[in-house]
Amino acid sequence: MSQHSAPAIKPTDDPAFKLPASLAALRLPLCAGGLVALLLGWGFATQSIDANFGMSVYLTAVVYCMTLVLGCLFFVLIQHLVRAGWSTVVRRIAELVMIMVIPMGILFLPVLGSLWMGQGTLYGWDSPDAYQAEHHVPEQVWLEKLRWLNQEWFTIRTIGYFAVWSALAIFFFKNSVRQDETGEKAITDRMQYWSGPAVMLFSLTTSFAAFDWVMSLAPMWFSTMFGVYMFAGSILAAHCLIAVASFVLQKKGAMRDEVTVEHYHDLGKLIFGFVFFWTYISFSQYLLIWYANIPEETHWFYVRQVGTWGGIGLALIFLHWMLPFAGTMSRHVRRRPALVCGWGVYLLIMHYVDVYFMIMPETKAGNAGGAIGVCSSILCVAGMVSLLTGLVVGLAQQNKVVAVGDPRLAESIAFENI
Amino acid sequence: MSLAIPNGLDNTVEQPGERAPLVLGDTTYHDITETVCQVAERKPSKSWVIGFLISFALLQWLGICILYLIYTGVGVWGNRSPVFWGWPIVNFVFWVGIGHAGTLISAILFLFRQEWRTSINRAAEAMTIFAVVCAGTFPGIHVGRAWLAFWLAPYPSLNLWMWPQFRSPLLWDVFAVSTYGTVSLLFWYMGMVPDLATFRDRSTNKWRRMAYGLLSLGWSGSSRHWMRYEKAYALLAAFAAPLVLSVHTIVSFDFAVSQVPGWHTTIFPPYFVAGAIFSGFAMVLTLMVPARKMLGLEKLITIRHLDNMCKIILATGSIVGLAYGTEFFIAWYSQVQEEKFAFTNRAFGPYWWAYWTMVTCNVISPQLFWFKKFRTTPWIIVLICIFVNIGMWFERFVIVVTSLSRDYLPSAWAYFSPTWVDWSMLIGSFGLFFTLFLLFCRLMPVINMAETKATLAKQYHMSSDEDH
Repeated sequence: MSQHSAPAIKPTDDPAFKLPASLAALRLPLCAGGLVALLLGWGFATQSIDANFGMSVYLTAVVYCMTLVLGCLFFVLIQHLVRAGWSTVVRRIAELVMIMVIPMGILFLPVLGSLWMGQGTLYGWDSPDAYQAEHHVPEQVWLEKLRWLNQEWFTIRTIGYFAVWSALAIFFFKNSVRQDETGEKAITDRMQYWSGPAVMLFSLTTSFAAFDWVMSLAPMWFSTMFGVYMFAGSILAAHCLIAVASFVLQKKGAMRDEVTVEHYHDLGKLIFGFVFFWTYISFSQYLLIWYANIPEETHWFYVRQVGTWGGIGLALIFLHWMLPFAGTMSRHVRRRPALVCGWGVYLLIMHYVDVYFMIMPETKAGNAGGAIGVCSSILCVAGMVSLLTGLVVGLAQQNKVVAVGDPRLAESIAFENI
Repeated sequence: MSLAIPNGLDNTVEQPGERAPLVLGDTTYHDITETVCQVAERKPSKSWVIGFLISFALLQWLGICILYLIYTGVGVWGNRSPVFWGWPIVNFVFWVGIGHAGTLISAILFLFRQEWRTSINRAAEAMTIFAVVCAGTFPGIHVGRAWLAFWLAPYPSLNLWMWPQFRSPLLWDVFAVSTYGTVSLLFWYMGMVPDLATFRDRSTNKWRRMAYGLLSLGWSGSSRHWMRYEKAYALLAAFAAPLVLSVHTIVSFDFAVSQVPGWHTTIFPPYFVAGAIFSGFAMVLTLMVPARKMLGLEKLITIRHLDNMCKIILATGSIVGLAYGTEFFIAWYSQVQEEKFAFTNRAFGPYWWAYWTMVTCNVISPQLFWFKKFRTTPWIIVLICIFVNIGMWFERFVIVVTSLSRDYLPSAWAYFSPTWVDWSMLIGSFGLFFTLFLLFCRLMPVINMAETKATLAKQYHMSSDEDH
């Protein structure tokens, strides 16, 4: 990297830092359309298959969106922690997404609702007697398990996770936005200071949230790696999202001189790296369980290895690893914003397949839910993403799309890859 | 051209928007050459000679023990049923772990454009290679008939009519460690070529000139040489980066593919890698802090460098702590009897002292690095890092010994005790490591002069920007 001469920074009220009007106009259609699609998809799945499938489809959408939101939160934390200079121009995008953890808390309520109905609709363990009888779980083991997996404790933990994430998101968002006005360096110092403890809290909560929300769908299954596995997918998706959002914003006229090919190059490198990291984590998890071949653990993968699920599992190897791995390896690709954006969109779709593959095999409906199941899930997740995008657009309208007061903005704009 | 940075400036403070200097004082390019070259050119100091003699004596002792072992058989170790993987494997994993900081600093920090790596990467890479040498020794002699260790290599053997067991992670280890050793050696050597040429050009003695001349491969410093050098360096960095992950991942597979409770857990790969980086940085700091003082390198290896390394220790130490916690939690959550027992046994069984030593040293002591005072006071850094080294050795002891000594059948349980040969070899391996490191300090450029000068060039550039 080199800074030859200080670049000209536009005044903070320059239109380049504002959300383009053409995007702002999409706010209501996105929110309304999203809500309708979300409800349609969920309802469709419930009606045409069963309530268990419907709730699973809904949870898939929630988990997918949460991984994006948490990935963006982590992106912001880690940039402060390492005092990154290159990323300042794109950090606001992540900040706008991470604050969506608050609406996500509301969108999580149906999951808690289904749990409190106590009919085992989503998490089998919330109807403990039925589950125990059906799966022949020894009494002593089951009683111990239920000390962790019960409605009250699960709800308290979930509230705890959201409280921690919301607090972190609000703190970093508010400070960053305040800096837009004041440009105070002390604000950066403050955010840097708190980013260390924040990362610690983040890792602890996301790891346990992964155990609770997704791993406990198969209450007898366990894998210490599972939190890292969810994290790997989420940080990859967050980088893709930032690249895609930057590209769209630039196309519509915002931050054209600020985000350069160098930033896409870096995002591309990180996307490539995290494709590798996701593969490393998921392969290690699979290999260790497959190799030891202990029935307590293999059942989770066994379900995912036969029939339609087996096909999806294989597809993940080729389409979530090999293809994007080869595709994002070249410097030629990474220095072309349209291609980085294209791979970003592609990987966001593959990340959805990954989340689907984690959650949906635990439903009772076989064959991946068939065409109806898949379509309703796509409708549901697209709806939730659209709803959140609408909310992000609304928030972006009231704020700048670039952290204009950040003292490292000049360094970020001038940044060049060697 | 001089840089107006007062001596003793606290470069651990960085104003957002500006970057703190990485080379302190009124250091010029020439000063860098002088500071680094004098380490190898002047007569060895008394402390170096004493250190070398002690290390060399320990190395001799290691050699004697190895001969005794080969002559007598592996029964001289404490390895007994059920703990057949005793100290040799503990030492192997410990040393491989130590060997992780160098390549991380030179490859991953390079890819992340962390310029503070330039004054520490050379010595750290050297430590990597020496640690791999120490590590490789143990499995080599653990095979029992050490003269047949070459059977590990896959070659079409007419004597054996068979190949090594490719399905065993132990064999993957052979490939992983030897690849890592080779690439690290190549990376270290290639990065040294421009500096070796400087040594060659400054040599006043015919033999030195010839030796450095051979090693510097005819380097002339032309722009064509630099261009190729930089391209090769970036490529090697990209190759080496996944190797940093792969080696300890495969070491962790040695344990985790098995069904032994306490070994078989899926978080092992990333947790081992984090632990390796943790221990590697601790070792680098343990040696670098006294070395920078004794060799007069304080302006090049500044407090900021130490501060940054301490932060990496804090981060990786916390990851290790999270992994310990996760293992414990999932052992309970799984409600698998053997899993639960394995972890309760670690903490409260006959080896409780090893477990709590590990937790204290690895989880609690690095947390002190939250305080800046601890990250910037050299003697405290060394003290904490020694604790981390002890803790990381105990981690491997806890994993290997506690799990094996009490696995499934209580009738097969037994308490493991090391013999004097085990102790001697552990201490002797430090002799090997320090001997190599001290020789390196005398014979090779301990700091990457060329890259540090490039860092200084940028510093000049930035300060001249401020002037007008």
